[in-house]
Amino acid sequence: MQPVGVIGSGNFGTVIANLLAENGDVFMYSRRQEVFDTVHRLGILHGQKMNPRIKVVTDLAEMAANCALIFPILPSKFFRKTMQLVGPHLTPAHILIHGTKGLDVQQSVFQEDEHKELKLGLHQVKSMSQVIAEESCVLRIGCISGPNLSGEISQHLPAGTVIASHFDEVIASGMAALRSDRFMVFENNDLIGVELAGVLKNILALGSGMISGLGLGENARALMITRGWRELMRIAELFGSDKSAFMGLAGIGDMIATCSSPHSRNYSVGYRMAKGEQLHEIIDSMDEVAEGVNTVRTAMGLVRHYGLHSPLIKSFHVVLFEGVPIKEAIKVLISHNHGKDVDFR
Amino acid sequence: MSAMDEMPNNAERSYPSVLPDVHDWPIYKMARDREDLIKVIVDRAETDLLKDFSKGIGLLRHIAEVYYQERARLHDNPWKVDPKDEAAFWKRVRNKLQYLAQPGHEDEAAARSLLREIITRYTREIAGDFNEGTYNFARKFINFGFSRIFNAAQEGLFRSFRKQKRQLQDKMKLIGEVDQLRELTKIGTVILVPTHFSNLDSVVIGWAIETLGLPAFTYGAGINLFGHPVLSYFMSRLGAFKVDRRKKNRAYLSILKIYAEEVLLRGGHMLFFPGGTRSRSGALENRVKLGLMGTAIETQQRLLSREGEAAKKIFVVPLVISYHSVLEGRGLIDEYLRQEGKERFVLLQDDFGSLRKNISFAWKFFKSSSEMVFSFGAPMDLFGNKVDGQGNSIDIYNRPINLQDYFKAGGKENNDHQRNQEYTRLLGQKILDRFLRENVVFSSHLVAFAAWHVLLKQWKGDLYGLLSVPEEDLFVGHDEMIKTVDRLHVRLRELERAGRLRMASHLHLDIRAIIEHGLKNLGVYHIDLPLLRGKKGEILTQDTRLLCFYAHRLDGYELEKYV
Repeated sequence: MQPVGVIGSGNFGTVIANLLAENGDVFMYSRRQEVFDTVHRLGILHGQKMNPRIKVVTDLAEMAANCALIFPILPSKFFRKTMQLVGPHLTPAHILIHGTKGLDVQQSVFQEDEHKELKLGLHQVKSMSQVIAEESCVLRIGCISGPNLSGEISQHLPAGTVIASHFDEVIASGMAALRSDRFMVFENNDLIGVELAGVLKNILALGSGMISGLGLGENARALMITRGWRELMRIAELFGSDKSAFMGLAGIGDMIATCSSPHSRNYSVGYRMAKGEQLHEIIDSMDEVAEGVNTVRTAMGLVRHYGLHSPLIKSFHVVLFEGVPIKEAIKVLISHNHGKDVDFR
Repeated sequence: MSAMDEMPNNAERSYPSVLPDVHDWPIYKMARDREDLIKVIVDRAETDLLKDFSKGIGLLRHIAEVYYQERARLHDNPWKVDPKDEAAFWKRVRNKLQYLAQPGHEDEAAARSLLREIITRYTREIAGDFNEGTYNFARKFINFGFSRIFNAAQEGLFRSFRKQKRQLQDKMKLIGEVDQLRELTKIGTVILVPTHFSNLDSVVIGWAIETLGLPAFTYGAGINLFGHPVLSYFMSRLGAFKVDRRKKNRAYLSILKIYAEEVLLRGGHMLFFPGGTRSRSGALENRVKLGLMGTAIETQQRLLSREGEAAKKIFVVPLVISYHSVLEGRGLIDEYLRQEGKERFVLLQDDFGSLRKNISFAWKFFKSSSEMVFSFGAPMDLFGNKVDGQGNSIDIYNRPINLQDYFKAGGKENNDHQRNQEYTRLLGQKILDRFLRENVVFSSHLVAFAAWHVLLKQWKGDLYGLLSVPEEDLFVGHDEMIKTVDRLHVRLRELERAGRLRMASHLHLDIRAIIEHGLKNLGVYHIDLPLLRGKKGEILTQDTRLLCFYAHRLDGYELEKYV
């Protein structure tokens, strides 16, 4: 079997590389020489023991020439840039399955957004699979997404994930490469839905933290998550999702893990804001970005542009960016929501 | 014929013929080898269907299934165009089936030959023909006819034909990547995919293909069109093949597919309307019928695995036709509203065309000086990659792409039907995207969009509410129109700069002039005008539905929020 590639050497990239190495040889790309050195010297990265079948490379051309199946696992803000670097080495014979939960928003947009009325059209907001398609000639694209906390998988605790693609062969090759008796892999054809569920659920993690911080109780949390879930699905519909992903492991599954874990970054941003801290203080004190903050802004841009009914997203937005006190904003939860329980199929 | 002999000859055209000798045209060769083509298709279809039909319920039952569907078609939906012996033929099929089904009469060879008989009949019906003489006649006729239509009433009848010809080219503009299109017809097989708004499209496209000096293209035409004797005479001699939408049985559909495949394999350039039918709403196509595109991808794979990297390639060329008026616009939008609106449409008042209206219609049609723009998009391969002058596929980093790579898994070529279906779907999306980009916006589209959306806003977005208001009660104020058109115009310029659409040259006038130009040209040959100016300078409509139809042309750019 050909070796499989991983682009990115972060926490999750390392986890995936180790999972892949259980089934075959792996090329792991890192742009940083010190990653290469560390792995060679210690055999350990991010506290994870590296499977000896993983070869760290610093040359994208070398990886592309050796691997037909490649997993880009990158922070979303570096995703497009990195794809532009690897793009010139890819051919239509390659299969790419990314593991990045994030959206690519046209760069200039946020810089302009010192004002409050940012509107975002679909041509300005791209999923990672759309970025791959834009920056390379690869058509066989998929993603992995699910409740996959790196720490737990690296401790060999059981977990499952979803591979999504429109191509059956992409799903099949991803499954064959990843599956093991501690890592279950499910398939879904709603690629954009799986991608969006993984991104948008961070909004609810923020909200969940706020609920805890305010001490509103579990009933309120369930209320917020359920109503918020519907708002997220409306956004996914815009992108052409058939919403099936939202019912599965990459949807409900990931949401349960994120919204109930006090360790998640997004949750703690919400929690600390509810306790009276300012957003910029919280952000400054964290070493990694809480994606949910940007996601709220992006989602709000889409909501404005397409006139979606999204009271919760609006209330999170006014709390984060418009200085409205959290107790004031959270009232929408009780005052605004009445009507049909389930209005989708 | 004497009048037509005065038409300028080919040598004076701006585009010399790509293949000067008609006998070199793929379409001519296919017609010349028609019997061979039919035999190849029958053989292939027989092999495929025998394999397919031997599964499950068995050959005889499968043939009976075909017979059953055909009997239902004959009974429920007979057309004038059906051959006279149609009923008799299928009756004979039934008799044979019944005989072979009796115990003791089983005869595999007889069942096979019955299947072959059906296949042969279908293939002969589908297969197109091409007659050089008819073609030469038609091209002169069309050039002549167009000149008359565009010039007659206003220019006077006695202008020199030469001058009329020049005028024609002023009014019918061919823009975009025409030179590359010409080159590619020499190298590979071209599928031209145009937008479709009017029944006149196939005629004007025929004119455009001829004017560009391209060999004739073949296309699938609904069999119902062959019911008209004159139309039938021309179409069946100009390379059109017949498609019968009523026949949905497996045998017929697979023959149709094999036919298209053989045409492509033999380098026959094709014209294919991806929208399937004319746009009912007036909007650019927003979904595509993929049938032929899927066949093209499979054919490309066959060519590649047979001949390797040097294999002949199939190219897709999007074409967007822009005009100020669509002859049958009113009928189309009614059909659209009836489908979308259901009971809300029932509540709208019907109106009937009077004799006066119809006469007026014809007169206006001849009188109006509408321009028409054919916007040819850059050719692409079947995967949406751009291609260079030699037909090589090029990726966004300007590296050559080997198409064989699309059909490889783990380093080896393999057949994957689902994969090809996905490629087909992606190609469909690319085509739709390209339609939006190649679309040439006219002043008339802009004023229709602006006025319609201002009215719709007055009615809080209630489409059917707006449609039920008497036209006399509707107007858009002079200043509001100017402001709205101005805002939209700014946005259109942005989109143009970003390469997301094209704008007609007249849209670079100042706003007031654009509005005047739009009002003067929008749907002018309709009896009731979609837009006109009132006494106080306000904008009025005489037909809201028509206005709705023309406004749709700018859908897909998210312009609504600029109204």
